[in-house]
Amino acid sequence: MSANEAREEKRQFIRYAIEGHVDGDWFNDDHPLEVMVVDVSSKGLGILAQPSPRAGDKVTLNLEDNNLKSVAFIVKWCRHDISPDDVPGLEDMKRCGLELESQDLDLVELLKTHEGIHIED
Amino acid sequence: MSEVMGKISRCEATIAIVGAAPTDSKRMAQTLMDKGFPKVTSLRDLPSLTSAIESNKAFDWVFICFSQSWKKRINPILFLEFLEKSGNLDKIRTSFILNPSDSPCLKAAFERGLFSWHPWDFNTTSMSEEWDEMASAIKLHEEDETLVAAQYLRKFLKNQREFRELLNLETSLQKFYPDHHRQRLALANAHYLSGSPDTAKDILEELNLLNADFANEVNDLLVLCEDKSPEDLSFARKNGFNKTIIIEKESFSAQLIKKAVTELGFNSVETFTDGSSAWSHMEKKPRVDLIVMNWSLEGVSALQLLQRIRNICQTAPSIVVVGTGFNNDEAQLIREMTVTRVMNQPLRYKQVLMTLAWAMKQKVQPTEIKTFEARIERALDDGDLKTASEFNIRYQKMSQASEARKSYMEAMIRYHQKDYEGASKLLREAAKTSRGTNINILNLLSKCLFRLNDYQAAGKILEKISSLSPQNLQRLCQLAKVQVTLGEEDKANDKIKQAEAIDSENNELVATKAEIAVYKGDTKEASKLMSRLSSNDNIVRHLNNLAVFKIKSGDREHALRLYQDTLESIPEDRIELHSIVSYNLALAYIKGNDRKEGLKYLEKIKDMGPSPISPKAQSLLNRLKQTKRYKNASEILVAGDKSASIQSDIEIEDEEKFTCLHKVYKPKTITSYSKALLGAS
Repeated sequence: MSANEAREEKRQFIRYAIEGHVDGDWFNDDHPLEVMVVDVSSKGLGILAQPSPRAGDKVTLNLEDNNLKSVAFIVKWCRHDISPDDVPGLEDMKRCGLELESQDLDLVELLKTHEGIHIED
Repeated sequence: MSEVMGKISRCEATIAIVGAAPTDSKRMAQTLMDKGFPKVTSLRDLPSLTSAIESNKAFDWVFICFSQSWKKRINPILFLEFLEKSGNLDKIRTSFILNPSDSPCLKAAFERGLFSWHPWDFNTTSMSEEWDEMASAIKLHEEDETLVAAQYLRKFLKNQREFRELLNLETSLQKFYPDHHRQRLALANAHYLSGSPDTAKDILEELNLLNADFANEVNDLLVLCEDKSPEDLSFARKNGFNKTIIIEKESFSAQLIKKAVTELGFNSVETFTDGSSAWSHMEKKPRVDLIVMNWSLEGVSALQLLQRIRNICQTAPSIVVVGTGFNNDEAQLIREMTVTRVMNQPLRYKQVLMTLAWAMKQKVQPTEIKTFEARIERALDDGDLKTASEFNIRYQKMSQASEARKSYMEAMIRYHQKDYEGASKLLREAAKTSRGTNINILNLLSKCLFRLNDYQAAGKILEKISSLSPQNLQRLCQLAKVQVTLGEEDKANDKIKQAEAIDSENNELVATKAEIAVYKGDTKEASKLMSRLSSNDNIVRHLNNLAVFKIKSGDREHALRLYQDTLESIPEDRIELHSIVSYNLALAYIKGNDRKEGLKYLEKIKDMGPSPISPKAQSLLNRLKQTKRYKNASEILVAGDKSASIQSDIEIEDEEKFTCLHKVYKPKTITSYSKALLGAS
């Protein structure tokens, strides 16, 4: 999906802005990612990731304070929100849309109980 | 916008073309009619035009084609003077069509109310392009004829490289359009062109803070001022960020943040280790673009500092908080104070760089729900309803935003349009569909109810929100004011005590205590409190609204006492506020048919010296002195000044009328060509 398509993407689920840091480690395969979570819906996450995964990649979040150890996502789209030439060190940072792999989980419910996280009403 | 500008904008103006050869005149008339103008008349010369105007033939717009064979009695400059003397200057717009050799008269012509000038070139394409240029100028300046005329004079002065004169024009316009951001950009450009790049840079940096929409234009000009190529500008400068403050006790974190902001290219980085020193600095120099602050601060706490900063500037600067383990009350307050992002500790360099870069970019080009909302709120705080509405249209189309949030943003626009009923209705719906108890929604609803004078309901909602977010000092103050108005003084005192426990030095609290003191008639205490504040505008505004409410609800005595106590409490040196309250008090007396007392306060305004309310006061005074002509108070108030009723919001109207640049611009020098034309009579 192109960046423009990503912008125009019709979301199936309402997204809520998310505040705070999700305590946990992010991986694309075995490669660690630096991630900032931007928004959440019941079945997906909006993140900033560095280095950016590619559409179709599987990324996992290993949570620190939850019984559920690992949550898997499929990367649906990625786009540059900041020009790659603009900030040294962030050349490969992209805004990505992730879809939850498991259909049994509700991410809003899961993260609502996560310490240090607030989901906007 | 004037009536005639509306006609020109809608292509409904009646036009006269004067002094063109028949073939040129015909071609020009055809071009204008092709654009939609219904009636275009050709006249041989200026005497024919003045005769037509004198015999009440109506033209909205005249095009005068220059000719060297001016009759002694009249020429284009004298024609503008004729329009003014005959009272037609604001009814007829004048445009000149001239050769370069005649252009030296333009400054004098614009001074006398010229609307536009166009080159003497009568081919159909160029004439059509001239109109298209005019149409875009009218659209860009929202039918403001002064700004359209200024655009034409600016074009001439730039062509002539008369940069000192250009600076004179922009400086004059700035006085008339102090809050107009595009005008500020033009002023910066004039400073740059006239050889003052540093002054231009100062204006541009301030403009960047006020309105990120001009980031590209500002940066282009900054590039010129700094003599750099655009690629050399840092990420911060490209996005309009210049100054940052870091408040961090721990040296490792402070260094990490400093490294990131340096990498992002901030020009100025100030670091503080505690809240007190940071506040002392910010109190004096509140102009900052980004604040990165730790939540565990000594001296002035982060909770206090955050609220004090938002007291000074509600939506700018961007604030990023560093910390962990926030309790619910703190987390709630952080959200309410529109903190852009929270970073958890321990910090990692990549995380800091990413977060700050994202926060900065989102301020200029929001793409997320939260940052879009923040952009709309910032525009509303700047009083820029147009930009806010434009962003809101885009926001309403965001499929990922909930219906409750969309209704909330729509209600916020309505609130700023003073449609409190409409906003309340939307908010009640939003509260029903919201996922949880949404404090933003309830807060705005309480503000609407307050504006609708439903203090009882506003108080109830504020009580509820206060229990959900008890650290919000501003809300406690609002609640205390509502409770005093409702006669619930004990409850109000409790709220003041709670607010004092949060931050006894907060200016909002001091202002609230002053207002309550006035309300209770303790003018001595009120005066003491008001003198601690650098501005008392909000206090006076609120007391004014309260007095209006009292008058409307039939309690004139209380309203008069409120006005008098407010007057007694305002520090003596705040002349402008004294005159505004005196004016409203005079109106209240006149409305109660006590003309003698009304007269007394209007005379007092006269004695205070010039202030923005002086012309209005003088006009009312004149009418009051002619009381024999009027039967009752309402006739006095309505005669010649329909706006002269007590306003629930203090709104000062400038009574002086100006047409295009007439009375706005005065050239520094006048050419011999103009002198010759002026001397022709």
